[in-house]
Amino acid sequence: MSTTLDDRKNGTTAFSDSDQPSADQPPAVAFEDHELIDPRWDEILKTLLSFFDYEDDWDGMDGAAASASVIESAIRIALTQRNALHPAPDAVAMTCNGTITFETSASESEPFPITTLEVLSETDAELYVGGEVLQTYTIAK
Amino acid sequence: MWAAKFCKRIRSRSKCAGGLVVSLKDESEPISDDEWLVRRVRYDRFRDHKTPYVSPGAFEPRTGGSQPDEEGISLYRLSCLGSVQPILDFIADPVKQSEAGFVQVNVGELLTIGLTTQRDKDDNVKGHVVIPELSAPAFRDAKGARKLCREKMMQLAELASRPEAILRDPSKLPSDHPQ
Repeated sequence: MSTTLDDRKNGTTAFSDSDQPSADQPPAVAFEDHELIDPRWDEILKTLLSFFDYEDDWDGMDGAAASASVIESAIRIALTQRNALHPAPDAVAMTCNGTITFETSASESEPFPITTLEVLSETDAELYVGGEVLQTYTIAK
Repeated sequence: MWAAKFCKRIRSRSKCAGGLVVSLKDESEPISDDEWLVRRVRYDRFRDHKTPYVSPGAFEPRTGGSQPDEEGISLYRLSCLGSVQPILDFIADPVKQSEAGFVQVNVGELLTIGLTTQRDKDDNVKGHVVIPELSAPAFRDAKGARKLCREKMMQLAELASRPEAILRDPSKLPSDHPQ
């Protein structure tokens, strides 16, 4: 199923279906300084911003750097999730193929399986566990 | 005949830190199930979780750049190297050297999760092997083989996350290494 990762101006959560009404939901931006925001998002956003400085071979193993548009899309997703009070993932990382992944472990005591949201391009993202793709998304600008 | 073999064995000996002399395998020798293979893993793939783990992304095949993993992701036979030092020594950039971590996986355990290994010549570091199931062509196949690749990356990450598998986590080193 393909859904839309909408931005915060529309007040929807990052992973809500585009065809579901959200008019009664307050704009996510209203929660900007809310104490319920997971503080770990700060580190995630800081890491995402640092990706703008990455160049090809950033990992010393010939890794491709993500394009600015992919990083911007990942930041939009992170902000939408953060402002909708979703918990932060364990980590955000650039892959050797220039995509960006948000990784969340299964539990504190048993991390596997890992759930990954991967920003594949400026407009496409995929949520998967192991080899199983749970959902594909179109990222709204 | 025996003398030639003996001389070859002497040439492949290496000194460990404790002064103990160990015999290293020649890279032309077949890979046995009891061998350990080393994978270079950047510091940001080690997750400092309550139960620490290594990200499956550490085993993703490179599909682009000047050296895509056409034959499979790279690992090195510990039995040919003695330690990870020869791999570290080959990293010219000191920053990237300090960012380099290493995990080890057992060949027999790889087989149990459906992964095989093949010897592959590397002029710079001895004992280079590849895992053909985790190759660039397979990973490029978004509608087909990538699914299996991701499954195997996850299983491999689970094996590499055990405490005994982590040989060097740069963020856990005492000096000014990446945090």
